[in-house]
Amino acid sequence: MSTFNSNFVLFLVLESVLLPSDSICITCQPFPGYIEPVSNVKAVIMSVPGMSLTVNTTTRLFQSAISAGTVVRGFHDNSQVPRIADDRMKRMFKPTDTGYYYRYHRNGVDPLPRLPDCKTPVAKPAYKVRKPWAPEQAYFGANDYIDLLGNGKVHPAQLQYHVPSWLRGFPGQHRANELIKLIHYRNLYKSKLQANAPHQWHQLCKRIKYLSQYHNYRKQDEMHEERDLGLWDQEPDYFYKDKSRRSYKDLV
Amino acid sequence: MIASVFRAPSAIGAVCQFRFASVASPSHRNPFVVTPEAFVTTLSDEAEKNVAITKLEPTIFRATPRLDLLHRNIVWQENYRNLQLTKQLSRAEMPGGGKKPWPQKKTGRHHAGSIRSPHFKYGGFAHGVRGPRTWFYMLPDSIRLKGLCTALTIKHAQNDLVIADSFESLSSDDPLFLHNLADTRNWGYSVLFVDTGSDVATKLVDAVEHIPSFNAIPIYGLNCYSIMKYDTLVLTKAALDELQEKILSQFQRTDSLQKKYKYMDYKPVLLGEGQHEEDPVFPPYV
Repeated sequence: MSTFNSNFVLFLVLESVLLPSDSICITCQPFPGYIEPVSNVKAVIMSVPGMSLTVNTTTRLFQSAISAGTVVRGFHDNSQVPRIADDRMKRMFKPTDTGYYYRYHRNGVDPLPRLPDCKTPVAKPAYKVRKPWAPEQAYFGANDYIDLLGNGKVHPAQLQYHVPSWLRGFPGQHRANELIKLIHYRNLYKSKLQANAPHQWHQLCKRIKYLSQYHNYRKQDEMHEERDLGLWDQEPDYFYKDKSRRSYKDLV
Repeated sequence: MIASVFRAPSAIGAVCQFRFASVASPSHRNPFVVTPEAFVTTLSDEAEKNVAITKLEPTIFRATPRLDLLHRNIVWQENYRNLQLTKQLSRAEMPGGGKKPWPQKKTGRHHAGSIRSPHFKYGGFAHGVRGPRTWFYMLPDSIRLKGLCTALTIKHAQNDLVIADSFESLSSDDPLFLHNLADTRNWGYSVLFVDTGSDVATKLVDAVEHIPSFNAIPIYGLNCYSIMKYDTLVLTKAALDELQEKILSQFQRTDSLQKKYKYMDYKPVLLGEGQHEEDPVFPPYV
């Protein structure tokens, strides 16, 4: 806390307004050796003439170029590692300076480096209008704990009315991948498909065969936790000696 | 909202002298455990009028605030219901594309086996998004219970938990009255009224209907997301007792709280319930 007379305070306030602060975008190309001013001046503006005003300066004021250290622009790609790009020009002439400033020990977040006077706007997803107190949002999450707080007869998996009935309660992608999902579907609807939708049956079989080949040839044992999924009964194969049943022909 | 079929049975501890003695934890004998307490208020006037003081269960309302578990609960609630119906067709599923469009050599063009290969303009996707996809998973019961306890602890510690004697004590069904009541008592912008079952006092329902940020749910609808979303939680005394009883009985149940969710256990129930949705002739889309 330091006290200054009113003129000096005004000067301080002007300085903090005019000079670029930390949060300003780095579109302007500064000359080398340019120092960012560290001006977090919190000025209590009470312009009463004749009274000495107090200014609460929490951090150091504008540093002179001589005293402070230089803020260096970094991230030059000198690695000579071949980068994957569409065309030869992009591969050959990589931009070496991406305009990134390392910000050590500073508050705030920098916007991403941008080309100066760039006309194309930043790609942003369209603004979504949120209605937090509309009925479906106000009751979001209701009945998720109904198996614990209710009478124990209903499970939240039974409340997934928006999900197709064959996929209700089925473990998601992170545990049961597409192959497992399709095998489950085939178990349920084999007869219906073969009778009424032979084309879909053919496509399903092709997809299952392709996926099982893909996983077996290209992937390590990803599904060693398959038995933990709790999808099917773990019954022993009683016919392992029966040569007419082969394991690569997956029979349903 | 699920009908009152799922209403809890009447008080189990009616016979016992000490309220829910069968599930009460021995912490009332432990001198090192602080028992949290809360006022019981009436909703008859706008000004706050406290009628009684209740002791709350420390394992629920003064639990160690496991913010990481609360985070996991809320993330689970946000994600486990998600469904994606996008399907990008592969080259085999796209129409056409059976014939080799031009010979392998001598044409000067690149090798092509089919018109619907991924590098063709209207070709199929190689590793596209496939079919109806869910993010369904279940958290273990212990984590869900701990998340609930953490959320309730936070609400009580931050003076956002209000216990009303009954919602019948609300004197008028005017939404403005309820709004002024909440304003006087400093409840906040959003209030969640929790009752025992889905049959709530008529006056409260009429008042709450016209205020979008005031909502009423039964006990079984309580969840971490709603508890954290609403500024204030208003429980009836009966609802509070039932909630404590339920959570304590879950903590003390004989089967494991770490029980893994297995699809096999629920498969007959789920498929049985979904039978009426299926078309009798054609299988659903995949």
